[in-house]
Amino acid sequence: MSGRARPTIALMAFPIRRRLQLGITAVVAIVIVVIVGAIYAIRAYTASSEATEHSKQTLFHLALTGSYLKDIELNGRGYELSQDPSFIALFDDSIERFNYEVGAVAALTAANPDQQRRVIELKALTQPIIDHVRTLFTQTRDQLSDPANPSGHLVRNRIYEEIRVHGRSLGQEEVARHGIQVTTLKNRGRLALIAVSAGLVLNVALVTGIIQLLRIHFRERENAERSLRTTADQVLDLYNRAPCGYHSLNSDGYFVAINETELAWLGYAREDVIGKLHFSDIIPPKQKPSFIRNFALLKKEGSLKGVEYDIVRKDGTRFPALINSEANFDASGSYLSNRTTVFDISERKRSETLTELARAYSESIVDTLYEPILILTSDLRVNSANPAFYRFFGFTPANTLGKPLSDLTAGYDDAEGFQRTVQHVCKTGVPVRGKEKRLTLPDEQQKFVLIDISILTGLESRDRLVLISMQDISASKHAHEELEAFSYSVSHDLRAPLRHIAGFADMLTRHLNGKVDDKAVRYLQTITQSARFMGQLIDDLLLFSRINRVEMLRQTVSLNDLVQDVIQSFSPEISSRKITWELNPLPPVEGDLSLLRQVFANLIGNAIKYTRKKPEAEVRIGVDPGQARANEVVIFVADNGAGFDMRYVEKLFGVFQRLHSANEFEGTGVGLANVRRMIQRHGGRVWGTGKLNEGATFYISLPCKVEPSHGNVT
Amino acid sequence: MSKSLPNILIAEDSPNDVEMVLAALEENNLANDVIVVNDGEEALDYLYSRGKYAERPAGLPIVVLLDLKMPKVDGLEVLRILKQDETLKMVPVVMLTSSKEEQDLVASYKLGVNAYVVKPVGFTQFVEAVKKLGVFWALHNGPPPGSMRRSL
Repeated sequence: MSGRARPTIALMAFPIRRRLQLGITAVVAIVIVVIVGAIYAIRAYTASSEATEHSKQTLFHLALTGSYLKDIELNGRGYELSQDPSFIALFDDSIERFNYEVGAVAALTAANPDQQRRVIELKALTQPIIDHVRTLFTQTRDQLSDPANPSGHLVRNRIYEEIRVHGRSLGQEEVARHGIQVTTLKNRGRLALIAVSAGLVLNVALVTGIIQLLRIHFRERENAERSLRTTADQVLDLYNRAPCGYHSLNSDGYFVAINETELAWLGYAREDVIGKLHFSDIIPPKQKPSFIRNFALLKKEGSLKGVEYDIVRKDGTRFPALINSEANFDASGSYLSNRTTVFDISERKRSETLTELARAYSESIVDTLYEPILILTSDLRVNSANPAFYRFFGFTPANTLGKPLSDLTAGYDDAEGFQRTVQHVCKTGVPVRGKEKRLTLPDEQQKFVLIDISILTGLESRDRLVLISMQDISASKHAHEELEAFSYSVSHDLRAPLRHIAGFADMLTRHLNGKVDDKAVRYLQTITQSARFMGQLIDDLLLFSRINRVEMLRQTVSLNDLVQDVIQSFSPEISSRKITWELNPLPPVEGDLSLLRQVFANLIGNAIKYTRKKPEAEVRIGVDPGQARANEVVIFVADNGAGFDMRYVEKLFGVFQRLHSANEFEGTGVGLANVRRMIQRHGGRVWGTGKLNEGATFYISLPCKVEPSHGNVT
Repeated sequence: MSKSLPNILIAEDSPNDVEMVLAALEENNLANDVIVVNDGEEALDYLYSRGKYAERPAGLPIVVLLDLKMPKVDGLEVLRILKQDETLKMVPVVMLTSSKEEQDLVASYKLGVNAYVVKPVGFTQFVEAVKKLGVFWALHNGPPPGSMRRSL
């Protein structure tokens, strides 16, 4: 079938061959019908024309009959008038001719009983006249002219008249018949003509159709043949240019066919190979026994797959090849030849070697790690583990490799939850990072590990693998916990006696109720103040020790609002002071609100504290773009207070470092150290400039608020 | 004046703190309405009328002041038990503690504490704090059903 689109589905279901058969059958049928019709029409025409001819002759003879009847009458009357005997002879002659014509008419109308009857009647009518006239010939003139004579001319006239009428009616009838016959003849002639011409037209149409169909049919055959030829060429081309080698061996192992690819690989010319080269000629001698075995197996089994040989080229060089072979057998089942595919697998061999090297390389790295690593297949069975894993958990490769994860986690807390987490990672590919887990090892040791679970693509199978790596954080966890317990204890137990010192000193003061001297009152006040100062010191130190440990809750912080709040919180202290505030607009930043609040409380608190001795204090807060690095914002808090000597700037941010005596300005020496830690946790910097008695400016930098489109916003 | 009944329960292990709390309550004229227990277990014994409090008059305090760090049963544990008890959970509980630890604050509020007060350094401030508490719980706050009303 050619690719040409068929006009309709109906025709599609009607193949061209079938249509041709039908067409030809139709043509033959119509030709037969036309021929039969034509014969019928011509025969009808002939019959018609014969009838017409017959009718014409009948008419002719009838005319003659009438004419001779007249002659009979004329000769009879002639004798009646003249009694000339010559009329008798003429009369007889007329009768003879009349009878002859009547006979002719009778013969012509023999097929028509009605006409026949009329002819007989005519004859019967004529005979008495003839007989009567003959009697006249024997009579005299007088007798003849006697009106009383029964054979007188009146009687004769009547008889003649009868004969004439009879003859005329016969003639009229025949004329009418003739008319009908002529019409019929014409009609039949036309009919025959129409039938024949219609048949011809139909035939011409059908034959044209058939010719058209035949043309299509032949064109299709031509196309099909052409495409067959093309396909054959293409198949041959594919065979020759395939990226793999093809060859066929006869039952003795000699090449009977080979494609161009394999020829090019081998370096032989075709004529050196076909029928001349044996397969064992292109493999190393030590692989010959293997070939002999395999070839025998192929003849027996009919198929052989995945056999590897080293193929020896004409120039002696070699390449590794993978061979698949299918045998052809004849009807009786004996081996004819085979079809063999040859793949050059040197690339694969090379990459296998590289993969092997890469694996050894990465395994050697993984093996030296201190972190336990476990690799699972996607069905959560152990694919591999590193020595650190075996050391940590006390497993051996024998009771680990290939075992399901549940075997390893059995006995551990929340083993099922862990299994679900691993399954989830395996399914979604979303890794789990830094999941903290507390483990009680079989020897009752408590361990804390940070677990990472992620997806790894396998080297061979490209199967999904799950990588579980662990970091033993027990040591730092224990240290952390101890520090936490220490701080907690400091917070509770160290503060209670301080409260008691301050509280009871207060109560004592109240109890004495002015019954002591001023000195005693001052001593009691000092006790209270010292205890309070130590409370502050403890608070600051606890904060300092925890800044790096508290969890940061990042959010967008409006620094403008924050600064207003902080200033507001100092209102009891500044209500009696004259402070000029210059508050420039600050940008919103990303950060932990409570940490940032403490930063600004410290900086603004310092500014208020160190301007205490100035009658007109000034505090300015704003942004200093000139000092900002990329993607950060620099905010300053400047005052015109006591300032500091830049020689000691290094000490500003140290713990318990103070640049002023407690007499001048009270303080624990932890505030700015805390500020630095809090800003560092935000990824920013802190620095300060100052001049003694003129003021100080503190700068903090914070990373710019990152737009949501850049991610990094939690 | 009729016989007064204790209607503030103070659980505090430190005698110094007890003395300061009582002094502060006294300053606020609330001291005669107080019963003091020295640890969490005693606090529970009192609330459940058992042990040495088996014979105590019936009724519940209108507020419980709990120290956080106490021997045997600590304040958080007492709070947890109180707030799980269908009857006792009505009794308002105030944590009175020296710690500013956030973890304690969060834990207390998670267990349903009604107020959390850090004991200030200095008696004057302490008197102020107790005064606010006493006025709030003893006078303004409607007592839970079954609690002992202060007799006037």
